[in-house]
Amino acid sequence: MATYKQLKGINVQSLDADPTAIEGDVWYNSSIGKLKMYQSSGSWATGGNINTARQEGGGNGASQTAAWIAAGYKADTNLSLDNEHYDGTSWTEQGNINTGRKTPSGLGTNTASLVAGGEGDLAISEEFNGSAWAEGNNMNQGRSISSFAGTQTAGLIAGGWSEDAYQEEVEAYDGTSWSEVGDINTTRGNAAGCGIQTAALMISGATAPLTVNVEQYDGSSWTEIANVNTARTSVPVGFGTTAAAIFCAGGTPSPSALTEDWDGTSWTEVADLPAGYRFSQGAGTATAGLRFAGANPTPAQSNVTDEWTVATGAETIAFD
Amino acid sequence: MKEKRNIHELIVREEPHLHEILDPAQVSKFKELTNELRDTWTKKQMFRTKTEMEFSVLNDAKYPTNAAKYWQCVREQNTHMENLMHLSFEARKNDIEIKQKQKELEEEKDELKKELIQVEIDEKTYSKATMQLVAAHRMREVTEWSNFKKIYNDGTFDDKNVDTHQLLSYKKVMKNRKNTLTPGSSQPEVFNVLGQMQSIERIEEERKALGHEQKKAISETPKPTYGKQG
Repeated sequence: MATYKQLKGINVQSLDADPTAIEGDVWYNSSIGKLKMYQSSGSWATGGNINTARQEGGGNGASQTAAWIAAGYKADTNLSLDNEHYDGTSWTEQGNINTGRKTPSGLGTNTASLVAGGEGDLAISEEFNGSAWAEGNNMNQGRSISSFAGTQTAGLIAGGWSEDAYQEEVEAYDGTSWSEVGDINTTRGNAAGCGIQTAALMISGATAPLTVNVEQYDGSSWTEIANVNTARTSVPVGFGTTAAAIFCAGGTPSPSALTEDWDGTSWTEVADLPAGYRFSQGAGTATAGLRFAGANPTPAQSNVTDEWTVATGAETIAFD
Repeated sequence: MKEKRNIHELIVREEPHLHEILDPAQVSKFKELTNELRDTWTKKQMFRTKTEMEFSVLNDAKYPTNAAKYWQCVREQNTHMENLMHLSFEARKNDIEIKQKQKELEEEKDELKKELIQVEIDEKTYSKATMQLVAAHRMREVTEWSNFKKIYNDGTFDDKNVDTHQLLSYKKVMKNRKNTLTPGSSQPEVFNVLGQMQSIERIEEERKALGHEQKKAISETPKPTYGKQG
């Protein structure tokens, strides 16, 4: 095991007061006689309920206080046309999407949203501009349960399900047209995704079995990086960047409450969601994010919103 | 919009069963609001209003020419036409399922199973009313887009081939997008706008240099020159 000096380059310092620290710093506060550490801890809290409970919708958002959900599946064979916005407190009804659908990709913000694809090899895309949805150009390959990253004018859709098989194709959107870009290494769908068009993650998902593989995109090609701890399918949620992300929910195949934190190097188990959900959506950053809607056995379609918040501070290290 | 479906009857029919999930006071309130709820259900906004179609969907920054607006109308109209067709198939299936359930109800002897079948019939009848409402709004969309097509088709552009107007229209779109870039715009967003702008200018120059006729000529399959040797 590496020593603190090997990791940090210095021994644990003895200081009169708490210093300006970064995560992982350890020091001895000689004034109070305590060994202290600067650490962050994330936790889930329940947010406002979505008005129309649903699973398998399209959703995303810029932050914990600005997210959206559109389309999805309400009950038996009932595709939702509803579109709702979250402001950090409550969800509000917005203009209907034109084509109801299940498991599309949802990218962008409340005022510049993009929904593309959906079950049944849909290739159609729609763009929301803050007041109404308009038809956009079709993707080259119709697909569902894809991973996605980016914005309405710089989007990325990877893998998914099309023509009765998992896919490896990736398409980039420039606000006008969809173009084929570098394929992922592990053909799959039902994975989580996050990041931007030129720096994205595709996390876990399903091939024939579930996969723990994670790939990172740099705008040209995909590279294998550290695996997640628990493989998940059924549209798990990812939010954040290639440097700091959260991977949560999904199915193992039963609804999972597990949450993993990505620090740019490895995945760490952190606080579980209050309940497990499959087919839900997410938004925000690794320190202030959201997971919302989805499927949980009771009730099947969920209207629950979970808020992920990371608090950072100096903690006293206790020795039992 | 004149309503074909009678949601009022469905609401009234469900009232007694609401006791299972609501307090008596809330059921009374629901009963009191029945007419208002029918009115709300009927006049709620679905899809885009005519105003939203005009200023939001066909916004000038994204569709800066009449041709661009016309061709977006074609796209919007087609989406609602296709969805209307699928909805019609779904409604027909739903009608058959209602008939099947009614037949099951007539033949069923078990009282609890009969109750369950009745719930399924009521649910499918409500779904039918919802489908009729959605269909009416899809038809409204189809009609409005038809009207907008007539407004924007001023005879100055090719209304047979969507490709013809695109270079000019997209050039204007990219200029508008470029004007909205800020120091906070992300690298891929800036890259996409500048890349498309640069490509459009290059294509414009190339087309100018080739000339329309020349371009057309090199696009055609060469004619066979039987017997003509150099």
